[in-house]
Amino acid sequence: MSHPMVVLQEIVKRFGHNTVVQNLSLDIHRGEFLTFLGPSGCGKTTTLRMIAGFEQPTSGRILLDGESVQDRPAYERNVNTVFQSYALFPHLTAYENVAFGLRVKRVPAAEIDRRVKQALRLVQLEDFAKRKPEQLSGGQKQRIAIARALVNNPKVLLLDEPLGALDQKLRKQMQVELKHLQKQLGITFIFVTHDQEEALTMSDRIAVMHHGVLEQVGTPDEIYNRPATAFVAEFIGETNLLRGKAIERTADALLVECEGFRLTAPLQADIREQEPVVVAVRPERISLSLSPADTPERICLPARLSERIYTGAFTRTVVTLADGKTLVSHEKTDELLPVGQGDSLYVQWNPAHAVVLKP
Amino acid sequence: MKSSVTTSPVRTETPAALKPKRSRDYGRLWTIGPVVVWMGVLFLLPLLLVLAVSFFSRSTFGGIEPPLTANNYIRFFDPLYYKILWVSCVLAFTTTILCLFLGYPFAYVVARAPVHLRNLLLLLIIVPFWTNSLIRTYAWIVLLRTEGVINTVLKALGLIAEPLPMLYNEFAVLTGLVYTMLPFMVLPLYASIEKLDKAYLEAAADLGATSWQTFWRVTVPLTAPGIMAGSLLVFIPSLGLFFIPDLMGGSKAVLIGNLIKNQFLTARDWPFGSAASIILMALTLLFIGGYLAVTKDKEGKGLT
Repeated sequence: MSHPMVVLQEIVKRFGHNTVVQNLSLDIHRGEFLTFLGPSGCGKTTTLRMIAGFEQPTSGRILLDGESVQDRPAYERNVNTVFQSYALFPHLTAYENVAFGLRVKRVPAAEIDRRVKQALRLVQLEDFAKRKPEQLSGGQKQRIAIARALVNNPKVLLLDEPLGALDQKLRKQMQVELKHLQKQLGITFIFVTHDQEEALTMSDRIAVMHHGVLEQVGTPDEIYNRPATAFVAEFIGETNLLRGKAIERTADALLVECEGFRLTAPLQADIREQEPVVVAVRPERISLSLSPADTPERICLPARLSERIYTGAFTRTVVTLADGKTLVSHEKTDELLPVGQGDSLYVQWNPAHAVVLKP
Repeated sequence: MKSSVTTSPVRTETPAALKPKRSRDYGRLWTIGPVVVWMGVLFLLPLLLVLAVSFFSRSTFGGIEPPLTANNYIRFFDPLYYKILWVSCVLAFTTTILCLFLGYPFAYVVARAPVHLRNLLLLLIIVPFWTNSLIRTYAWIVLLRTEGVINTVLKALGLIAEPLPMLYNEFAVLTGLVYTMLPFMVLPLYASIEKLDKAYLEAAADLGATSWQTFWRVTVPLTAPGIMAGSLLVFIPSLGLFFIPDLMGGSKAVLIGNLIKNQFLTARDWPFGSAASIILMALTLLFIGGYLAVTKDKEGKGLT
């Protein structure tokens, strides 16, 4: 493949004295499903709006399919947006909403009809063509909004928290459908959400943002299992963070000392000896046992059971270490360790599953 | 009626159970009563009087006397009179169109202005209303007449040799009407433009519409209730405003409002004046009916 579909080069966006996006650079590939993930106010929506053309970057460049577009108005960019509120035109039927983009571009009537019907078929709403938005359910509005964007054959489809207003079940269903649609059409999707589960389910790559800074870009697996910063580790999924200190750097590993244990982790360039670090371990990586670990490589600490919370397939078990620090472990509900509240037990995990981060 | 207004889910037919309901009925009377009296005395009674008078005959000295007759209505369909009605409608329509073209851009700018500026701009529209409209009309006469401010300035600048005839013609009447009615157009337009969600404009731009296309395909249809309401609020009073044609149109412009006024004050033909009023009112109701049918604005929200 040649150049990336979207290139963001050192994008800075300020509103007054408020810097919303700080020096963001990112390549988004052709046919990729990329998600901007972060808490509200992290700059993800602003970034999307700059790609759409609703906001101009304070500095930096935006390339769309190799062409610089940051000075072009929204209507001259071959990208389309699915808005958070859908923004379906209330005075037009579903059909006319979908046809809008083609009508303003003066596409011949016969072609408009063919393409609109095709788009409505794509979202399985052919029978609702004559309805006004107010006569459609939330999920149907959502589909019409997607059809209205896709009918223009955009190079990139931008989706601004499009599933936020739907109920849980419908949201799950739309996640799968959107993913299928994207694979089927091969269009680049740029998705914005604050829902980490949604991001992990749908994306080829996730760009995690925090306070306008791009914290990490990677596949869902990388983001989840190899978070680059403490923020990413905490924001995505549940995690246990333990404070420690880097005590030794070798050629390919880093020796870290925490309260009560030591571990070696893959070498990280920006962590020096004697610097404080954070060790992140996912709850599902922590197992509980009645006796100490039989293999010396596993990290094993004595603890007491504090609390168990039933959540369905797994049980969220909170244990307290000798120094008062609490850890969370996810136990399979079917295979709970036979202990009660306050009982002694051991927590253990494979050091390879721990991630060492700068605090 | 009674059975439909019970509030308790179980109805017991004993007189004891009916008693507290009675006292509640008094409560209802106290709240609705004043409104009924107000509407009856100030609205219904005068209207019925006008309607009644329109079927009487004119007495020799300008009073009313039997027999009851429909002659006043028949007389109105003399070309002399319905032409006046037609000319009035054309003038009111022109006023409405001019107000719309002047008012829309203004309302748009105000609605899109920063919040602190918005209230100031709205105030600027409303402030002239605190001055008597008759006085404001005289002010226009001072501006427009042959030795008026505008002609004097233009002559002093050497732009014209002869004073422009700006008063006592249709131009003057139109100027006066547009000036007086403009706020009635701007305020409903402002209300509907201000309510317009910017996301629709962004969606249109996103779909490739230029600003001009967005305006015609999205902004105008979505602010149609404001356009209709403003047009109605300008058109209807424009039909009846008599003092502007009187003062600024000279003797040339006889409009339906002046006709009615003259019947009461000059010709002293109350029955015919009343009939003309009723016809004008029927016409107005027709326009409002048309508005409701077109906009499907069942509760008349755009008009309030």
